Amino acid sequence: MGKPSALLLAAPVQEQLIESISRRLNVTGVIGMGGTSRFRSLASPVFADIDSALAQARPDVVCFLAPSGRTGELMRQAIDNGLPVLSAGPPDMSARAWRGLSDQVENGGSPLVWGRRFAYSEVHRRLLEQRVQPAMGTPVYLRCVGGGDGGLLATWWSLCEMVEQAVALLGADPVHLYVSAKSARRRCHALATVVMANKASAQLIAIPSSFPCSGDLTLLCGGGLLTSHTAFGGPVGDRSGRSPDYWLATPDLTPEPEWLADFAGHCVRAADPPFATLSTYPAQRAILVALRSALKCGEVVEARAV
Amino acid sequence: MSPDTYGILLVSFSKHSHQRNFVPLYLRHPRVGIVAVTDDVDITSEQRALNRQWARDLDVPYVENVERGLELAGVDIVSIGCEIERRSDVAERAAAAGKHLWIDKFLGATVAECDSVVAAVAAAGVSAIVPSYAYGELVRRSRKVLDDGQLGELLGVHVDVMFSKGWPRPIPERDQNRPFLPAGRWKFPDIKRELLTVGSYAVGLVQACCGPIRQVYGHAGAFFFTEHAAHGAEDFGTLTMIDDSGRTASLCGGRIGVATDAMGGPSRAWLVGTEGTAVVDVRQPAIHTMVRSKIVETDYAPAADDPMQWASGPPLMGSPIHPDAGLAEGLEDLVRAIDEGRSPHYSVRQARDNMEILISGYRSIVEGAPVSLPQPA
Repeated sequence: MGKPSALLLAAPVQEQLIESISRRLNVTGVIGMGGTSRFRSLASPVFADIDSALAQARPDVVCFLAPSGRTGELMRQAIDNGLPVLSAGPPDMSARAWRGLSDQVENGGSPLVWGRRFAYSEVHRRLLEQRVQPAMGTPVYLRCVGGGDGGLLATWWSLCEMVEQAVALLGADPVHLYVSAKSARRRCHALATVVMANKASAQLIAIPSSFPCSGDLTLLCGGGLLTSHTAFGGPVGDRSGRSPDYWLATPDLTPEPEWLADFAGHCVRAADPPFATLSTYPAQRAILVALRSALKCGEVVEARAV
Repeated sequence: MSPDTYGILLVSFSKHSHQRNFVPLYLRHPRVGIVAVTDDVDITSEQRALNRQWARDLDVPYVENVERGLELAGVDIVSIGCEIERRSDVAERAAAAGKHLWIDKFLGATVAECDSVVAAVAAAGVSAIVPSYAYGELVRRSRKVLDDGQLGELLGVHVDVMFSKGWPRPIPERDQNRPFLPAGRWKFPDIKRELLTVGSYAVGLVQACCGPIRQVYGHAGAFFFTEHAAHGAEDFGTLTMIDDSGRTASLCGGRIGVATDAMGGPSRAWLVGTEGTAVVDVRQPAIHTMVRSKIVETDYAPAADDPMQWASGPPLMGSPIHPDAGLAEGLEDLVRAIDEGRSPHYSVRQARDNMEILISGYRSIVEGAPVSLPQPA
């Protein structure tokens, strides 16, 4: 069996990520998302919309790597075409539109899942291996720095991803989630403060850069402290275009190729997706509502649906 | 002492203060000299004995009663190292006597006490410094990054300060769910309130980077130490803050136990701007020191008479190349401020605001919801 194939919906700043994915899967095409900038040196064909992409080649799966205001509509379009959809984050849809889409998926439509890229991150796996050692004791606190690329919806996706990762690393569900945020020059920065059922807490920072998933983590436990600085040495943000004279050569730690390959493999085998996420939508939607409110009022806002 | 030297009166060597750390600075600085050690009359016999020992070691008189100490000839500056509960009273008396003030970390135990010190300093027209926050590497490097303008407009500041000190033990079940002890009681024989003690450094950085804080959300409740759990008092806590222009800030602060960090505990910040994000880590760059015998032959435990390591440090496996000289910078600023008849860069007003942020954080922890600043009197 050949490589699974995927149609990617991605932002121009994600060219390097697309190249990483194309080494693992057959990328049938790329649709530009999030803003007016253009891809500069992409090897894969670029399309304006799903219909024109599907007219050229039918992929095994469609993958959303970056959000836009049209994410929900494009997801529905893919599902209408019988294509499984994997997304880095949830769609921003009205309650009515969401009910329609989720009903379609739950009643025999193509799979739609999102998030959990971190679960395919080597950084996360190594951290979790260490965390479950008895000597580490109980988790107390997580500091996580993730990238939001500056846009509101990308910041939301980053917060959603980090909250899921906090649940995995701290070993408990959130009981309170507060969002604070500040935006200037079209660059959004947000902080989610999460209190878990086991009294552990997390401070999750979405910075306005295309920071790698699971890039910078500090996990404090009763028996010790775990830190990762895997973002250092790797390309971060727009400064990656600069050619350094001296640098730390690091392996490609982006989890997306394995995340997408695993999903596509399940779909090709007609197996259930590796994880389900539809039920997480209300809580994640509440984070977006809180994020918008925090930006508007300049205060700490609780995400109430948690 | 020469005419251009300022004489310092040391008030108390409480083990809850850093007076012992200030002494080497005073001894090294060419423009200051230690005149005497003093303390109030109604202190414990142990405290009096410790004060006397320091006076002997420094070869200066020990003067019973702070009022008498303030009357000594040649006293220009009062270095206040008594417990937090006595600090505002001593500071007000010293300011009223026309003495300049060097105050260890906190002006008083409440915002009202801090306000009294601010008013007393203003009324007396003396210079007063709280040297612990604004002069260190974390603030200095952060300000340089911001002042260089590479980050664009600042959107947020996030700070982790943890002390890898003390010896954690499993928390007994009976102490795991004690109600959180509200702000107000700071002094214990066996513990410090660590959100206050450690978190105040992180608040100092937030103050240096952001505008006045107008909202705080706090969390605490997961314990490292049986001693803290038994009191229901935090050994670790977090704050989320919003400043007057909507910038978001966060901190974690606490005592997390020995051997959790190669260089004594994380002390770093993320400065998030529209054009980039900078990580400021005062432990880096560093010389990493791996000595075989120190690792394989180690049998380490904190000293029995200092289990929380208030006066000692953990074993280190390296050292920053650029050591933190913050307190020395602070002393230099105080001397210049006195020379020039001005206030030091970080004075009692900023320290009062630092305390208000922390006390608001404690209130938020108790209430389980964000609280707004300024707090009603």
